[in-house]
Amino acid sequence: MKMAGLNWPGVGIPGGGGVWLLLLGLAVLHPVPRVPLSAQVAVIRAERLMTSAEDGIVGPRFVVVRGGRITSVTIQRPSGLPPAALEFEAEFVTPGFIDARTTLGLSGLHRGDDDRDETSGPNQAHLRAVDAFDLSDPLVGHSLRSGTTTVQTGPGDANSIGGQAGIFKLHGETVAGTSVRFPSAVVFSLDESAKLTYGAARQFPSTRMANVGLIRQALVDADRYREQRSGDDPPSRDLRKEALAKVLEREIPALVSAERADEIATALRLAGEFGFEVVLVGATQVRVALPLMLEANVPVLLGPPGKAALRWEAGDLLPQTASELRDRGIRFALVTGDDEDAAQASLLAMARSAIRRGLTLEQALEAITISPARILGLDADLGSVEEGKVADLVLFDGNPGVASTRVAAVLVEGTAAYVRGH
Amino acid sequence: MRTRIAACLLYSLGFLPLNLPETGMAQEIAIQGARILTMEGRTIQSGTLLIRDGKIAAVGPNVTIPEGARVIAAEGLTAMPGIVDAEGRAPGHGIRGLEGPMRAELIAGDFFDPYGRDYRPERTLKDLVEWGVTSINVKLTETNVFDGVSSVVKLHAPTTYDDHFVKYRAALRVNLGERPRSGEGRFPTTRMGIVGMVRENFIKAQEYQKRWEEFAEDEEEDKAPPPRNQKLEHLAAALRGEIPVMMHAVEPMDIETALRIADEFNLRIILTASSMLPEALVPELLERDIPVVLGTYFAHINNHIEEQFGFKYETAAMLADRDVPVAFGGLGGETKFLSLNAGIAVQNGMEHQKALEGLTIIPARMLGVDDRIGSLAVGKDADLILYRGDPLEITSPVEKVFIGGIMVYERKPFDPTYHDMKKGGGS
Amino acid sequence: MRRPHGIFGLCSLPFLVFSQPATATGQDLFISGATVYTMGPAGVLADGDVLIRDGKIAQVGVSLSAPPGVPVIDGDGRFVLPGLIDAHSHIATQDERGGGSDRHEQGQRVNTGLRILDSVNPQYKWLHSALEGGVTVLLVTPGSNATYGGQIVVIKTPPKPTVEEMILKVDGQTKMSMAATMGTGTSEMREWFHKGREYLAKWDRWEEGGREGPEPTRDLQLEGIAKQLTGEFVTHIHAQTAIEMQYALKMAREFGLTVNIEHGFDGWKMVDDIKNAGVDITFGPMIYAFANEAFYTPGILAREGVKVALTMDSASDFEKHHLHHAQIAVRFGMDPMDALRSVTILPAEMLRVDDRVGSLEVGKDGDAVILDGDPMSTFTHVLFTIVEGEVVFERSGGGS
Repeated sequence: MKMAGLNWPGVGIPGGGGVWLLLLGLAVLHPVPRVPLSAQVAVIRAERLMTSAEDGIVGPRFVVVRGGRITSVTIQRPSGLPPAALEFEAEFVTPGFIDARTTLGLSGLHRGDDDRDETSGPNQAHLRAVDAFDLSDPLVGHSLRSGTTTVQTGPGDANSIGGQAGIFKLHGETVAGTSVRFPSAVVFSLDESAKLTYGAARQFPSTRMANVGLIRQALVDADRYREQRSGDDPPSRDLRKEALAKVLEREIPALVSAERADEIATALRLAGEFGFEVVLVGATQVRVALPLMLEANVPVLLGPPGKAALRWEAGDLLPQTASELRDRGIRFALVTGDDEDAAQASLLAMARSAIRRGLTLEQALEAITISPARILGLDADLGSVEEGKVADLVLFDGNPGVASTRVAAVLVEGTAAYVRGH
Repeated sequence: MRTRIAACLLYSLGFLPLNLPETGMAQEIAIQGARILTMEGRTIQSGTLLIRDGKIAAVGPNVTIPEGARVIAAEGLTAMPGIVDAEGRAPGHGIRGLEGPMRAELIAGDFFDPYGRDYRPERTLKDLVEWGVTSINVKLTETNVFDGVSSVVKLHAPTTYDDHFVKYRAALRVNLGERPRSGEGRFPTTRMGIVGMVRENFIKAQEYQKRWEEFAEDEEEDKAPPPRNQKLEHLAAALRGEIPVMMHAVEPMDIETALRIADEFNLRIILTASSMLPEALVPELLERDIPVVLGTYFAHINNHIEEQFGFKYETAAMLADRDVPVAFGGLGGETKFLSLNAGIAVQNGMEHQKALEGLTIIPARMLGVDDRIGSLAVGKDADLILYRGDPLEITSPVEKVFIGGIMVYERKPFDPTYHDMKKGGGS
Repeated sequence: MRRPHGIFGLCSLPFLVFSQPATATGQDLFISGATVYTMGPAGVLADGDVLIRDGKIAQVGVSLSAPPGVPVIDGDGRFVLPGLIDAHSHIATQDERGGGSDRHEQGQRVNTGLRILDSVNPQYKWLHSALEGGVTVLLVTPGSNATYGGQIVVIKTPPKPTVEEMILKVDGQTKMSMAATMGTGTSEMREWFHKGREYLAKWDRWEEGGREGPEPTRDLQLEGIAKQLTGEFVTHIHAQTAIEMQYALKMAREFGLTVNIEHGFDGWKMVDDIKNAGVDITFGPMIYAFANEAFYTPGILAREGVKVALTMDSASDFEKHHLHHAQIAVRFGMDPMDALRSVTILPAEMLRVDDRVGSLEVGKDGDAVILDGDPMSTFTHVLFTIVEGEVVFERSGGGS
C-alpha cells in the first residue's frame, strides 16, 4: 500500500447495535436513535453512484464498508451482512471530495484566526501548516458538511515562498490524527500577491523579476546546503533551506501559484533550472501556455474564477480550459485555493458552478475526487468508490450538480462524520 | 531708443543671445518669394508679406516693396502664422500654492514668467519658438476642478511685459474626470463630487450675478454694493457668455458630463483633451457649436494623463471631417511638439489644411483673439514662421520666427562649442 | 575566459530549455519591385526585390522572380526597410493602464541577479502597437530607479504565448543607473564592483586548485556583477546629463566594463570624450522634450562616427512612432540615412544580434517593414510588418 505507515484514525471504532435505516432523498427521515453514528460495517444503497472509476456514474449499487474501507460494490444487495450493520440509502453517492490546494484551517472564519500569511518577510519556507491547522475552525466543519473529506492546506500566497503545506482529513480529534502527509509540498507564489505584499511599502520584492530572483537565490542556497549537509563538515541546521532541499530532492513538489501565462512560463522555467516537481495553482491562463505545459507535463489546480480570472481572461473559459486540458492529457483538479472568497467557497459549490458553465456532472465530480487524488498521489486509497479504497463517501438526496440538492451524510473512513439533522 | 530696449529684452529672455538678428524693430520688413499659407482661405504660391510697425501691412502675390524696407529673401520657404497653443502650460511653471479644487479666482497670466528664471531648459521660450510656437493660451493645472481663467500670451513682447498679453482673461477652466479627484480623502474624491462642486458654484454665481443686477437696477442711492467675490466673478463672466468655459473632459462619460453642465447653465464651452470622443456625440457638438482641443499625442510622456491609455488617433480627422473645429493644444504636456502632433493627425487621416488651421486660426477664433493673431491678414500682428518644407513634416526645420514683426529666431548651424560655454544651465 | 564561462554559463543554461521558438519553421514571401533600403552593403535598390524562404532572407536584388507557390506582396511605389529595432524599451512590463509595473525593483538598489524576462508579460497589448510602427526587435530593460537594474532581454516583437518563444537573445546585458546613484553613486558602484572582483577571485582560486574543496557559494547578484566585469555582459548605463555620462565612462575605465550609454541627452557637450572612450549611445527619447540642443546630439555623434541607436524608451505605445522620432533627429541635422541606420543595423550591432537582424542581407531573418511612402515623411504609414516571412501586421485598407 502506497500509504504505508499512516495511522488512519476513526477506523474500527466499536459500533453500537441496531440498524439505522436512513431513507435519504425520500424526504422522510425515520427517527434516528441518539447513539454514535459510527459502525464497523455499513451498507449504502445508492440509487446512483459516481464511482470516479472507469465506469463513471452507474445505476443502483450497494456499497459495503468494513473497517473503514470499501469491501464491495455490487448491483445486488450482498448477503451475509451482520445484523448490526448500519444501513444508508441515498439518491446519489460520490467519493469524498479532495481539495488539493486550500488554506482551510489556516484562514479562519474570524479575522483574528487568519494565520495564512506571515508577512514579515518574503521567504517563509520553514513555516508549517501543521502548526496552524485548526480543526475547530467553523469553516472546516462547513467544508466537511459540503462533502470535502481531504484537503491539502497550507500557507497563503502572500509570500514568495509561503511555507509547507500538508494533507489532512477533515474529520478527527487531533491534528496529528487527521494528518495524512506532512509536509506534502512547499508553497511558492509567482502571481502578484508577493509583490503587492511588499511592493506597497517599497520593500523587496516589488516586481515579478525580484520575486523570481529571490526564489532562485533561495533555491541556489538550499542546493548548496543540501550538498554540504551530506558532506564531512555539515553546516548547522537551517529550517528554510531544509524545506527547500526537500523540493530540490523531489521528495515533495512545489505548489506554485501562477495566474498569467508568463507566470506559468516562469514556474516551468524555474522547474527546468532546478529540476523540481511543480503543481500549478490558479493557472487562469493555462490555455495560453499550453505548448509549454504539454512539454512539461505538470498538473494544474484550477481555482475559483475570482477577480484575477476576469482581469486576465476575456470571459469565463473554465469549460474550454477543462476540456482542452483533458484532451491534451494534462491532469487538473478544481480547488478552492487561496482566493479572497475561498473561505466561503466549497468544492461542491465550485463543481456546481463548473457544471453551470458547461462541464458535465461526471467531469465536474472527477475534478474534485479522483483527479486531485492522483495529483496528490493518494489515488491508491482515495478518490473513487472501488473495492479496497478508503470509505470516504458523500451521500446526497438528489443530483449533486443541482443547487437544491443537499448533502445527507458524509462518511470519513467508514465513520459517519456528518449526517444531516444530527 | 526703442530698438535698444527691445534688444535688452531679447537678451534677457534668452532669445538668440549674442547673435541678435540685425532686423530688430525695423520699420518695414518685406518677406519676399515665400509660399504663403495665410489661413484666410487662400494659399499664395509665391508672394510677399510686408510688415510695418509689427503688423502685417500687405500680403499677396504682387506687393510693392517700399523703399528702405528690409527685404528678406524667402524663396523656397513656406510662411505661415505663428502656432497658437490652444491650451498649454506656461513656461516657468512650477509655482506653488495653486492647489485646491475651487481656484476660479486665479488668472493664469499672472504666473506667466518669460524671464527664463526656471533653470529647466525644456521650459524656455526659445525652445518653443524654435518649434514655431508664438502664442500660448496658458493654464495652470489639470488637477483643480476650477482652475481659474486662462490667458493668451505671446512668447515675445516688443517693449513692456504687458505686451505679452493678447487676452488677459481668455477662458474659464474646469477640469473634469479622473485627475481632479483628490486622493487624500478631501472633497471631491469622486466624479459625482466634482460635478456637484461645479454645479453648486455655478448656482452660487447665478445668485451672485442676480444680486449685482438688482443692485445696479436699484434706484435707492445709498445702498451698499454686494461684497465682491473674485471666484464667482469669473464664473459669472462665463454665465454671461463673456468668456467660454474650457472643460477638460477625456473619457466619454466626462464629455457627456460637460455637455450636461453646459446645457444646465447655458455656457459656451470648449472641450479639451477629448480624443476619446465618441462619434455619436458629434451632432451634439455641432448643435451647440462646441470646438474641441486635442492634446499633443506625446503629452502623456512626462505627465500621467488618462488619455495616454485611450488616445484615439482618428478623432482629429473624424471631427474635422464633420466640421467640428479642432485645435491642437499642449495641455499637460509639451507645447513644442504641436506641429509634430498635427502632422501625426494628418498621417491618421486629417485634412492637411485643417490641421494647419488647428494650429493657428481655429485656436485664435475659439479664444476670441483672431482679430490679432492666427492668420496672415492685413492689420493683424506679424507673428509668423518661415519653414523649409511642409510645416507638418517633422523633418522640416523652422528657419525664422517673427513675433510682432520682430525676428526672434533664426536658424543657424548648431555650434556645440558656443553652447558648451553655457553648460551650467544645461543649455 | 576560463572561470565564469564554465560555471555561470552552465548555470544559466537550464532555463533555455523552453527557449526554442515554437514556430521554428519560418514562412516564404516575395516582395517585388519596391524601393529597398537594405541597410547593408547593397545600399538602396530603386526597383528591388526581396525573397524570404523559411523565414530567412534568400535573395535581395533587382529583377528577381518569385518562385512558384511563394506569396507575393507588390512593392510598387512602396518602400522596404529591415524590421526596425529599438534598443531600449520597457514594453510588456506594465499593464495597459500603467499599473502593475514590474520593471522597477524598488525594494533594493542592487538587482544584478534579477532578469527582466521574469517580468515580461507578452499579453500586454503595446507589443501590437510596436508592430504597427514596424518595430520587430526590442530590447526590454529594467527601469532606472535602482543602481543596478537587472539583466536585460532582447525579444522579437510578435507576441507569443510565453516570452521564451520571443527571445532573440537572453543574458549578455545588464542595466545600471547613474541617475539613481548621484551622490554616493560612484562609491556605491565601486563597492559592488570590488565585491564582484572578490567573488570572481574566489571562483578562480577554486578552479585553479583543481576544484578541490567545497565549491564557493553561488550568489546570483554577484554573479551578475562578475559577468559585467568579465565583459560577458554589456553594461547599459542610464546616463542623461554630461556628468552622469562622465561617471559612466569612469566606471568603464576603472573596471574594464563594456559600456553602452543609455539616453545620453548631453552627448553634444562631450563628443570627444565619447569618441575616445569608444562607447555606443542609445539616444532618446527626444519626445521627453529636453532642451532643443540635445536634439542635435545624434546627428553630431553620427557624423563623428559614434554608433548611435535611437530609442523611444517605450513602456506603452510610443514604439508606433519610432520613425517619427528618427525624423526629429533629421530635423536637427542628422543625415536621413544615419537616422535609418540608428533604428536598424546599428542597434543590431550594439545588441550583438546583427547576425540575425538589422539589415536585409541573405541569411538574416526575414524581418521587414513595407511603407507606403518615404520613411522620412511624417505622413507615411506602415503597411506591412513582416517577421521571419510572416505578415504580423497589416494596415487595414492599406494592404495589397
